[in-house]
This record gives sequence, C-alpha cells and structure tokens, in this order.
Amino acid sequence: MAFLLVGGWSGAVAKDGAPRVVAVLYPETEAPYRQIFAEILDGIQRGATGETVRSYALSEPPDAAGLRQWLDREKPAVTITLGRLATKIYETFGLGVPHVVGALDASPQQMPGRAGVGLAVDPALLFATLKQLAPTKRRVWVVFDPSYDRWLIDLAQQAASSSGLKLEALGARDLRESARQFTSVLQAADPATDAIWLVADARITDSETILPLVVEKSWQRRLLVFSNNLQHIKRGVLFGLFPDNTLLGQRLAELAERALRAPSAPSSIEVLRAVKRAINLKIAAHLDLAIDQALERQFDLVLPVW
Amino acid sequence: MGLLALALASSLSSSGFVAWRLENKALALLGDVTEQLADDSRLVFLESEATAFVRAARIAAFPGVRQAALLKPDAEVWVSSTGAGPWPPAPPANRLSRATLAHEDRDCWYFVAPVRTGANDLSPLAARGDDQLLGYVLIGWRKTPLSHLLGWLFVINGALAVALAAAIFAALHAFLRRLTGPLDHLAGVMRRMRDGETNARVNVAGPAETREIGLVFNSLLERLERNRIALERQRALLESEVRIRTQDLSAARDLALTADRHKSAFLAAMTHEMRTPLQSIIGYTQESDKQLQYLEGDADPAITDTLAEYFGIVLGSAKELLQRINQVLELAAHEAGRT
Repeated sequence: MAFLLVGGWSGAVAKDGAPRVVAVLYPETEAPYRQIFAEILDGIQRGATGETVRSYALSEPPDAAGLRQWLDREKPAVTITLGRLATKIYETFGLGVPHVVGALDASPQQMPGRAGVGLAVDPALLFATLKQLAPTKRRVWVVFDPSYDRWLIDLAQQAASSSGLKLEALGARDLRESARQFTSVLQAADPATDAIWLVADARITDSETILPLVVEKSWQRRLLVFSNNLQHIKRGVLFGLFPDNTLLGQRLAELAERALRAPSAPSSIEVLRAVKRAINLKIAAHLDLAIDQALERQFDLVLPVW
Repeated sequence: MGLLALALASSLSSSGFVAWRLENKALALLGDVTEQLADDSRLVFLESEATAFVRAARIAAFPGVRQAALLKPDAEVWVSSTGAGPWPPAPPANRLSRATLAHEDRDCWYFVAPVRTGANDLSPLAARGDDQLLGYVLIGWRKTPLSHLLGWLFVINGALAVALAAAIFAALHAFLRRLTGPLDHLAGVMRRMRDGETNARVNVAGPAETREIGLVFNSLLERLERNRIALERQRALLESEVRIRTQDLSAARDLALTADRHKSAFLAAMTHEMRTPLQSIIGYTQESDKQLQYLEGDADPAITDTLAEYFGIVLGSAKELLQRINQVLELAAHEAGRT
C-alpha cells in the first residue's frame, strides 16, 4: 500500500473562469460492470457541460505512483469516485478537493457529509410501482440493518404513508438475524395484502442464502416481493428498479458542479431516483397480476413468462 | 528370476509414484468437494438446528463420507451426523480461506471448510466488502475407497509386470534359441563326426553369422569327404598292388622251394647213388688189403708194402669221400625234412 505514504494533494480551482477539471476515478473491471461504468462516465460527460471531464481507470491493486502523476498533471477541481475501490482510494489519498460518491450502495450513516448518489432506490418510486402493479397491497415488510439503512427506512416510512401503505421494518444486524427475520416475515405475511421489499444491502439480502430462501418461500406462498437489484428480478422477484446509468452520471455531474459552486454547502448521499424499471412476467402470472400491454410498455426491462 | 525381480521392483516403484500422485489428487478433490458442500450449506447455517442436523446427515450419506459435522464460527461442534465418532481437534483459530485437511487418522481424512457469504461475488458497487463467517463444515472422508483403489493398482501393476517379464523372458528365450540353436546343432554335428559319422551335415539356418559358419563348416566337411574318398581309393589301389606283389613273391617262393626240393632230391639221390659205388670201393679195397696181408711173405715185400700203402691211401680217401657224401646226404635229408 505504497499510496498510503503519499501526501495529500490539493487541486487547483480556476479563478479566471476557465474550464475546470472533473476527475472521475473508477475501477478497471470486467463485464458487466465495465458497461455500467462506461454508461455512468458517458452521463457525467453529458452532465458536466461547462467543465473538462478526465477519467482514470484504477487497476487492482492500484498504481499509486501512476495515479499521483495523473492527478499532478490534471489538477482536478472536483473528484467523482465510482465504486468501492475508487472511493476507498480517494479516502486514502486524502485529496483536498470536493468529492462526489457514485455507483456505490453507500449509506449516509456511514459517510456523513459526503455528496453523492447511492444505489438505494427512492422508496417512493418503489411503492408507486407496487401500487401500480398490485393496488390491493396494504403492507410492506422490510428487513434492514439499522446501522446502515435507518435513513432509508425513515424515508420509506414517509413514502409508505404517502402511498397508503404500512411499512413493517425489522432490524437485523447480521445475516443470521436477517434469516430469522425473513423466516418470520415469510410466515407472517399475508399474500393478499402484503409485499416484501428487499433492500440493496448485500449483508442483509445475501444473494446466496437469503435470496433463495425468500424466492422459494414467496413462490410457495404467492407473496409479492420487490427489490432494487436487477439480479433479484432475474432470480424470481416480481419487479425492481435499477439505475439508469446515464442519468445517474448526469446527476453525479450536477452534484460535482454544485460542490464546485458551494464547496462548504451541506451535502449528503441521496437516494437513487434515476432509475429504470424491470418486471418478471412469470412471477406476475404466478401471482395472478393483470399486466396489460400498456402497463408492460412502461417497464424498461420485461422478463418474459417462459 | 533377475528379470522378474527387476520387473516387480519397477512395478513397485511406478505404482508407489502413481499412488502418491493419486492420493494427492484425491486429497485435492476431497478438499474441493468439501468446499462445495460447505458452499451449499450456507443457508443451513441461517436456519434451525434441526435443519442443520438433517444437512449433516445428508453430507454423511454422501459416498465416501463416514461422518460430518457443522461447526459454529468459534469452531465448536454445532451438529453432528448420526453415529459420528470422536472428532479431531478443532480447526485452527485463524480464519481458513478454503478447505483444509485438519486431521488424519488410520481410517479417515478430516477436511474442514469455512462457510462464508458475500466474498465470492462481491460487487464493485457494494460499499461493505467484508464477508461473514457463518461457521465450518467438518467432514470425515473414508480412506477405504482410495486404499482399495491403490491395492488394485498395485495388484494390476504387479500382474502386468509379471506378464511383461514372462513375455520378455519368452522373447529373450526365443531369441537366444534362434541364436544358439544353430550353434548347438553345429556342436552336435561335430560330436557325431567325432564319433565316426562321416556324412553328417549342418542344417544351415538362424542368423546370418551362424548360417555363414554352417556354410563354411559344410564346405570343410565336403572337402574332408572328398579327401577321405581319395584316400580310400589310394588305399584300395595300394592293397591291390600289394596283393599282386604278394602273389608274385609267393609264386617265386614256391618256385624256389620246388627248385630246392629238386636240388635236395637230386643231392640225396646223387649221394645215395655215389655212396653205393664208394661202399663197393671201400669194401673191395679193404678186401684187397686183406688179401695182400695173406700174400705177405709170398710176394715181394716192396711190392706188398707199396700196395699196402696204396691201399691205405685209397681207403682213407674213400672214407673221407664217404664222409663228405654222408654230410651232403645229411644236409639234403635235413632240407627234405629228414634228419
């Protein structure tokens, strides 16, 4: 970890109105994440119209000296980090320029005062889609880690109230508690009126243990489950909202410009509103949901019945 | 025996090497299977103890497994399969990254694999990258199947080695027979010739060198035979000449003997014929001498004395001649086979 020994760097901010450099750090990855980061980068390019966007792909392990030289040359005024690795490196380098976090399921509880967009979808959007697909649902169950997603659940409570739903939020500190909570939810939930929401936190909604359990039991009990993870939809969840990467990039560019304009303004990681919608028609058919063509067309990704 | 010993030694060493490789491969495979079974047991660690017990029993029913246990994150045994024997010492306190051979006894290998979540498919978009240790899966794998396999390996390799040694021995034997057979045949022909057989010949066969020897030997025999026949002819010729000479000599001898007999007969006859008149001479001489003595005093003494002297000389000469004739007669009688 040679870069730990490298001193802080303070980017220059142009005083003469010349275009400033927006540095984007992102990890060098394989498919499908390479495509995701490329789309977000494209969105940032589109959004940062008045600035110069420069991107740097971080290898694993990162080349600290190379990154240092690149930063010395580019002298960014603001840095957008995409993904876990880039954010970690930014924190390690201690760059003295405004920072915007993106493409990360970041929690404002864990990163207070940091600007950015997390991967947690705005609960209001999720509930709106739920009501659109299954107007009879009255209650939404969710299992979450209070130390990580309390902020999201607070938002969800408000959104649920606005949507005429009751949110039953059950805390779980680890996977074992999560499994216990989900087991009880899957037994207690009423298929006629209840739905289950899977949060983005992988420690709570583990795709290898919890997801198979939820998918199997919900299929047996004909329970409606929704998520904001596209992989969940493919594996048996009715619907989900997932990032519109280009729009997410544009939003990150807006936040970067805002940070340049008012570096000291309070900021926080916000919920994801730039989303696309996906639906699994096989699950919909199993739940006897009427999805007509017009409704189907409102979804960006439709998984067919077969 | 040397060949068999060499083949068996080679078979043992190769079997030992293969057994060593096979055991390493088997241990790697068992580690992989243990890890797979641990991965498949993630959900069980989040469920009840009864479910965990069923899972342990299912793992124990897996082919080759004697016993299985699920351990808590602190390595304490949570559930064990039915009939599980004593468990080996707990896995090392430090967190295992993958399945490890924790213990080994006479009957089993004990593999322990950690059960984790979140580490395998960690997304670069996930903020919390640390995985969670749910516990461990501990499996006692029987050694018997591999032992049987290795036993068969040694048996089959040994049998193959023996068969190979036999084949090599047979081939070597055939080769040596092909090599030494013509030589043995040659030696036999030589012995027969030593014992007197003359028309024996070598059967020209086998390798080129041996055939060459046979051809040369046969050629020598042909030459010897020709020389022998020539000698036989020469000897017969000599014998016939000797016979002729002998006949000639015999005839000459017979002729000589005949002549000798004729000579002896002639001598005998002649001496006999000569003695008779000589006897008459002697007798008449002696009678004359007697008569002369009667005349003594009547006749002139000078005359009578001279006559007496003369009669004495005639008688003496006659007796000497008679003695000579008797000697000749005796010789003739002796030659004639008479004494």
